[in-house]
Amino acid sequence: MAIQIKNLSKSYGDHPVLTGFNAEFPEGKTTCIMGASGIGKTTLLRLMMGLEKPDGGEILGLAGKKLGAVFQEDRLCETLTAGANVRMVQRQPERSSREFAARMEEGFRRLGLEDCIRQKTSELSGGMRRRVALLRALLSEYDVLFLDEPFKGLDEKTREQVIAYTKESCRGRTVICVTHDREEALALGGEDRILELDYIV
Amino acid sequence: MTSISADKKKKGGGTIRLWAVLFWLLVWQGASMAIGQEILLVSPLSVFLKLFELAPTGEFWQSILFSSLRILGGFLLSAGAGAVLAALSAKCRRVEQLLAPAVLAVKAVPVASFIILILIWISSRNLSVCISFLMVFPVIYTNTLNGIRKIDGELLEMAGIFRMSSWARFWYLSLPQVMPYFRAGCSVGLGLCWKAGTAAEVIGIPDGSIGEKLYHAKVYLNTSELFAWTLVIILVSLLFEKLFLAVLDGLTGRLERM
Repeated sequence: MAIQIKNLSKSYGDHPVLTGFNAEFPEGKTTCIMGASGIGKTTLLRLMMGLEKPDGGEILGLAGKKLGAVFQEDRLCETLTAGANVRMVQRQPERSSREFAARMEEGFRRLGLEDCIRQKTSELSGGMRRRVALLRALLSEYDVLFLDEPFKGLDEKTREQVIAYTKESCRGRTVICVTHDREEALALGGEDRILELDYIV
Repeated sequence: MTSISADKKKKGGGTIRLWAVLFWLLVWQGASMAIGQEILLVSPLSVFLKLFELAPTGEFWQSILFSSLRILGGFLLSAGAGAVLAALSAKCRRVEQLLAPAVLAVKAVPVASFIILILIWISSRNLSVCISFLMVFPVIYTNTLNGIRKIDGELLEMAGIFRMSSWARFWYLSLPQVMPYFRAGCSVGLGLCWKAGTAAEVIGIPDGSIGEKLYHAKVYLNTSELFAWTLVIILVSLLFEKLFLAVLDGLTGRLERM
């Protein structure tokens, strides 16, 4: 079932962020949301994730769905290792299964983080931390995945590698990604799956 | 009561240096020689000699065991209760409100009043368990509660999105963030429990305790024995603090390396 947004409105004080916003996010596809800074992309994601309440309108098709997310901030537990940060969102017995350990190791390798599994996240660079946050979301058990600028802070070569892995592991699944970069949007979802937020508000 | 800082000590600032210890021992020895009356200020040399005289006796070790079991038992009970009740208070405002007057009372009432009051209710043998428990509880409770309150809200939001189980939230988010606060509380509590526990024993005079030995040293004006037992308390207190914190650090280290 597609996610439908009908007449969604949200204001912060006197400042309207979304007014009568309508959109549809098809199931099993990656949709990228683009738009200028401050236009409400992150707010839209937060509303869809249920982290904020809309002033009006409704969001259909998300009830009971398992969500995964990469937030604007990495939201990693600093004192734990990168591996523990990825594992923490898994449910038992998956978390301690050999099969998951193998998938996780492969994920770390594919994202260029081979030696980081047992390293504390506080010891990792910004780009590495971003990739750990992304891997945590990609390996989680989700029905809908929200990505808020998941590739920020990555150099060009790493970004290509990370986008390729993201695309591969999200194939056939519902993903909603906020990005500023058209190339990223094209690589992830394709031309017909880009929502320019400022056009539809 | 504000919580004790969980920050690690700055290098050098709080470290005990051998030369500084020797300096103060020399000052002590000099002052004792200047006064010239061991009953007023015993010399460190006499204290060490008395300690060597006491150490080979079975009674010496029995007294240490008697007091350690009770004082540290009170501490461990307090650490457990403080952590559990802090978790409940963080979860339920009513529990915090219910406990607030009790915690405030325990902090404000002089330890001597508690000792006398508790002596009316229970035998002097177990007095130090209660006093140790009461003195340590507010420190551990307040510190742990503050640690829980400082858990990053963004991490909790993330946990909500991923529908992390209560156990996973506790294990991966709460424990690593609260542990430094709990550790700081334990570090202070371990010093406190010995001070309050032996004070209770001196008043209650249970047979075979360190407090009884201190009391008798006072009655017979045996200053060297008084200092020797004080030194024993300091050493046992330091030893247990190091051991307990090493175990906690070991557990934290394992948690961080998961």
